[in-house]
Amino acid sequence: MSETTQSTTERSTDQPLQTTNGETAEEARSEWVDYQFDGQAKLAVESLDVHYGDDHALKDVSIEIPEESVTALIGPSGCGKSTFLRSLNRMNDRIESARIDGSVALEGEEIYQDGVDLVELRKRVGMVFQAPNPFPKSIRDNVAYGPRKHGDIETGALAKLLGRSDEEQERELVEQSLRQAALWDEVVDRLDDNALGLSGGQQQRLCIARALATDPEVLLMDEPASALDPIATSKIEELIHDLAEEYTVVIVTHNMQQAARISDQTAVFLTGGELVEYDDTDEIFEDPESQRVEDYVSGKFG
Amino acid sequence: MSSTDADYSGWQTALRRRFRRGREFADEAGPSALATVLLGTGSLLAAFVGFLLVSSLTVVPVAVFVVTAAYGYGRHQELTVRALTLATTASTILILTLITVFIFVEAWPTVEYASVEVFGVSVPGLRLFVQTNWDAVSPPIRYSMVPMIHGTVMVTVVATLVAGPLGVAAALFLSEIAPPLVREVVKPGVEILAGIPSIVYGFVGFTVLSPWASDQFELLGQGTYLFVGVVVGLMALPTVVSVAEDALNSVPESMKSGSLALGTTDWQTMTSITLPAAFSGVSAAVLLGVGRAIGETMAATVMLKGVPKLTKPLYNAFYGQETLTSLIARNYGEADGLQMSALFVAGVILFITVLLISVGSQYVEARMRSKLGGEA
Repeated sequence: MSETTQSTTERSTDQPLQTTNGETAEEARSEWVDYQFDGQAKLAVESLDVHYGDDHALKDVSIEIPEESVTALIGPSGCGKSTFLRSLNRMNDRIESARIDGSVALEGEEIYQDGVDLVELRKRVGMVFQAPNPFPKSIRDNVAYGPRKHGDIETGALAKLLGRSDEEQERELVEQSLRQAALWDEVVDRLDDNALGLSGGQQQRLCIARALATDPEVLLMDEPASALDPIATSKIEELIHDLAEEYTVVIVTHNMQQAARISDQTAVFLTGGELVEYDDTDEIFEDPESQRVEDYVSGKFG
Repeated sequence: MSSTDADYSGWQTALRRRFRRGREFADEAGPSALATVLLGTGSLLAAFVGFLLVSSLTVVPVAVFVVTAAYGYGRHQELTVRALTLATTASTILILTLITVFIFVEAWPTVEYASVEVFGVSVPGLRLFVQTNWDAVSPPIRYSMVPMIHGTVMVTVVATLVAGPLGVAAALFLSEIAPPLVREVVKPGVEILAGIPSIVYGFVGFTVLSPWASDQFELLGQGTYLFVGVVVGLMALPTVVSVAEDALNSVPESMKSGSLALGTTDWQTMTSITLPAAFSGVSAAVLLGVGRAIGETMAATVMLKGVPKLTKPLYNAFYGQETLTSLIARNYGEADGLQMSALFVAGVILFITVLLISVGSQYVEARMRSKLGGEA
């Protein structure tokens, strides 16, 4: 669990990306990923390379993600989408063999440098995983877990003894988070039941509520709906849409209709861990510049 | 099925079905195979009876059994192997049952001798537990288990206090903090330590720890419950570390990541997520250590004074008299009659205690497992 910080390496960004095994022979061009948008960039990624041992999982990715929007990452399995996502809150640090070079800046502040407080970073950049991973605790404890650990809410025995218990505040926060995740009505009567007793879709929404309770600025979602039925999926899609008003959402998905429905801009990763095209979602799905991206989004390969 | 079957009650139907299945089996197997199995079973039972009667003729049914088994393995391999494995299972259970029955039967004379009348009802064995005097030489001869139970409790408590916290903390480090290289070297190393014979630990305790302790604390003589407990605790430590580490390692990575991704520290994740999720396994590890401490014989025998007396005051761990195990180990050589039976009483107490702990730990584990919904 050693958390090391790699130094930033300087690389020239205007050199064209190399394609090794594209289905349609074509050179990726740097202008395809040069996406202009109004407003602030929440996350600015520059020349990001990730290796797992000898495996080059992510190749020289540069991308700016605008704030208060939904950015979809699409691409075939093994193209590095999840790796990219995990780089944004440094969860890759937990993988022993991972080596990360390049730069990721959150509101202009480099996250890959010495002295970065990972706890603080992950408070600001929350994450929802592919498979629901609720803690084996009650629903209430799951949602309140983050704030309690951060010391925002104190309900321990000592706080009670001192008359400083924030139970009321906690109750409100739990309700608000569960409402945001569209789960409140289903669990209002059993907040103290074990979260593992919920269905898969409910568990995933609980994980979203849990992430929202810590009030992050950025929410990373790794195929949050991949294990869910259509009804639960549509609930989560609605939720993501609403979240974009306050949060910056980055979502990995295999489902291209889903990306088209919920995202403002889409980044397409193709085999070999390279970012091929990044643009408004409409542009990507209706008029992509890369032939390979067009093949991929129209279902010809991938 | 005929219409009259409806008239039969449940057990009769079951019996008929069993009988029919037996007959189908006999039909399928063929007469030669059936004869082999019957002869084998018969000779095995005869050998067992002969063994119980201590008859020199036992060799005949044993020989018959061996020949039958060999013949059966050649001609009807499938059936013979099935019958033989069944026979080994049955004899394992039978032997263990007989041993259990034996220690209870051997313990009975002392239990009966130590009967006390309570409100006109004779309660067997009560005096073993209500008075603390052990006098096997001058009449009235009195036996008491209290000093030894006290000694065992003292040693076990000290050993648990040593092995529990240290073992769980070490397991946490190995599983959650240590770099892979350290884990790969230390884990097998710890497991090797678990295999060191207890007499070696006891010997080190006797030659190094006890003299040092009696010197430092200005004790009269050597051997204290405190340091026997420490030695036994160290002895149990590798087992605790190894089992607890396995339990912690089995907590899914996704759960730990989920906690860390919420912006918690490694320590918060360990104490709030990993340890509770692995609680069943970790407590099983500690209970295994406790079980080892209770049953530990050599270290206690080597280090303790061997005087069946209570310490004064009761919590005084700087005396070391006798534990249940060391009582047996020290006295079985010269004991006979009632005293031998008294040693068996100590054995029965150990047997029941360890049984309860083992059942208890499995109950805790089963409950946690159902609570976690199959996780951990």
